[in-house]
Amino acid sequence: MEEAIASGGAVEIDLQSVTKRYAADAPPAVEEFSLTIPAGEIVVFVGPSGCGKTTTMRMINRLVKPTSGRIMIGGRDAAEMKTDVLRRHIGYVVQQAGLLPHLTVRQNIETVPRLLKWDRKRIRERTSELFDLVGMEEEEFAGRYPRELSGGQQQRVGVARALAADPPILLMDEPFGALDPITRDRLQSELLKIQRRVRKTIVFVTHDIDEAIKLGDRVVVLQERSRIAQQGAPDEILAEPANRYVRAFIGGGAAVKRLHLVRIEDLELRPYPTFAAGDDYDAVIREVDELRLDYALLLDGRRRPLRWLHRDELEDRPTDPVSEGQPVAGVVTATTTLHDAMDEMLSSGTGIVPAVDDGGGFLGAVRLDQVTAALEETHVTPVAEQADAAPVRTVAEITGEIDRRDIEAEQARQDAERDVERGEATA
Amino acid sequence: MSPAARQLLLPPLAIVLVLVGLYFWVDGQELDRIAVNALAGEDADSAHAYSHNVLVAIGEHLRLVGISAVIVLLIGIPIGILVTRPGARGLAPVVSALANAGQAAPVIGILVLAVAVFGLKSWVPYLALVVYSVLPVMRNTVEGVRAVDPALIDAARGQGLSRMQVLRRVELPLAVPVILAGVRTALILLVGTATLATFVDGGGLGDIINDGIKNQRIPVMIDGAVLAATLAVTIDWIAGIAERYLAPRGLRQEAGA
Repeated sequence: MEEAIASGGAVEIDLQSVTKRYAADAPPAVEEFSLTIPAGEIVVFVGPSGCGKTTTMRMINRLVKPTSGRIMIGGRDAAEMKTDVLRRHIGYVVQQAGLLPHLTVRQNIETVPRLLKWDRKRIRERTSELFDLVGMEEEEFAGRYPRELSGGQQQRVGVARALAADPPILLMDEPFGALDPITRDRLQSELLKIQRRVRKTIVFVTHDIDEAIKLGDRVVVLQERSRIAQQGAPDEILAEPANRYVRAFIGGGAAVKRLHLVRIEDLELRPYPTFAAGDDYDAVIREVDELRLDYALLLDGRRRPLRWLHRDELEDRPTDPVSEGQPVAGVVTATTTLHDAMDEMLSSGTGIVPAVDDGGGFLGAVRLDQVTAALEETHVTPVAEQADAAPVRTVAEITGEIDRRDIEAEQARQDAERDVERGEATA
Repeated sequence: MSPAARQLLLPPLAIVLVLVGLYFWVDGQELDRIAVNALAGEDADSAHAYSHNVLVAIGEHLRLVGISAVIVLLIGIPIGILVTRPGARGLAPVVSALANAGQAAPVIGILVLAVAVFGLKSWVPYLALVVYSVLPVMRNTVEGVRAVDPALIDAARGQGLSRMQVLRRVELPLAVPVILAGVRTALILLVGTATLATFVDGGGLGDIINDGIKNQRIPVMIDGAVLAATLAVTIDWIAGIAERYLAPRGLRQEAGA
């Protein structure tokens, strides 16, 4: 058996004018699609349903055979490799996990290593690693059946299964689409964490622009026939939508969405007057005056933020400051996004939020003006000012229209695909 | 008693009661020479419900059912699988029409026709039984395989399982419960229709029943008929247990969620 692609490290995927046509007289599902997917990056295909994004992805592991064009994987033509061998070296994660219900979690994960005839010891070790990687207890879950797991747990197993043979490439087809928002959010973050460790080339398909922005190193916005409307880093796309289609697809609040991209660790934290019970009030008041602030922050013995005290309250020099001022409502950490930080500021009503380290110790303060400054930094023209002269329809109108048309097209396409597959099997 | 335990224990209890009851009932009947001949053979002086001829008939009956069942499985399951393959979908209507015709035609008719065509060969009863009972196995195989979620097959193909591996590791295991239900139906049909094999010299409990009818010996007739019915219930019970424990564990209810 030939080795399709080396396991382990990531490889580049190069799609060269790839076209998929299900019927000679129908418009192609994917038309002249060209894109280089750099090794080790997460590239997200995002677009309305039926735009051909899934079909495009499925051509990489040849679940859909391209009508024309070439797909180079790690410099080799995918069409020249044995299909089943190729697929064993490309992890595949689908919506709702697609676990085999009659096999245990362990058996599901070990499917591909077994196909690759790994020895038993290597399989066991790899499986333990994977349970650890996706944050599941091996003893607790290995012997369970998929229907005994929650949707989120099933999808974790789905990811573990896809990574089992350490493939250089991972294809993910709306993997979190069927999960509740909280679980989805958590799994998205964990995928990023896993990616930091494994550095695969990941192609991720979604119709959710927010998910695309959160996960993608690069985002590729697709329109019908899988034509690339725009591609680039998420903040580029948010800051400079290439055309009305992209703008409509991003939807409202592009500027606010960019707040998801910046984390507290990207900001310079401002010094802020702090004191602990028993400290000298004169020094604190002097510091507050120097920085032209109104408040000082009371910390506990382990430097954890406790309360905001106004300058006037400091003047009273209370012996028990813990009963004065207002309690600290929330804190942020290095990995908190500016979006969530702003949420804290607005809900606490102070326009300021303390940043803390992992132990809860005070690091510095983040203020609302820093958030707006961060927005301006990456910033180009506000989306609203780019509006074309042509009468602008509402976003809902535009996207709604895209959806309806494309859902119908997708239906027809899937039917055609099924017929074609039947035909291929006959041959 | 839980419903599962009841399903497990009640049928054998009922079967034993019926068998014991049958013994005492036949024992209480006056059996003349003709009846003794029918039940125990011409050398015997007396007879009871389980005399020599009856036991031989039960053995023959089981052989008719067993061999036919094996042939039904060997034909029904592969054809059922073949029909679900993407390349052979055109065959589906043809095959199911044939199987339907087989089951719709009366067995006795098939038997007589088969004898007319092939003569009184020893395999003729098997032919008729198989033709009559292959449908449920085939139909359930087709239905079981077709009911497998296409998304699962897609995920399996995407992982690099070949079509054959998908069939063996995904489609068939998931279809097992449905296929087993078909096998159970076929077995019950077989036990019932095997009583007709007597008309083409095929033996079985039909011999006893037919003797009883021809000679107007009610105890003989009842003995054969009750035993045939009890055999059907017994086989159904065994098949039910098999159905329960041969289904893949991940699909079973008591795997517990």
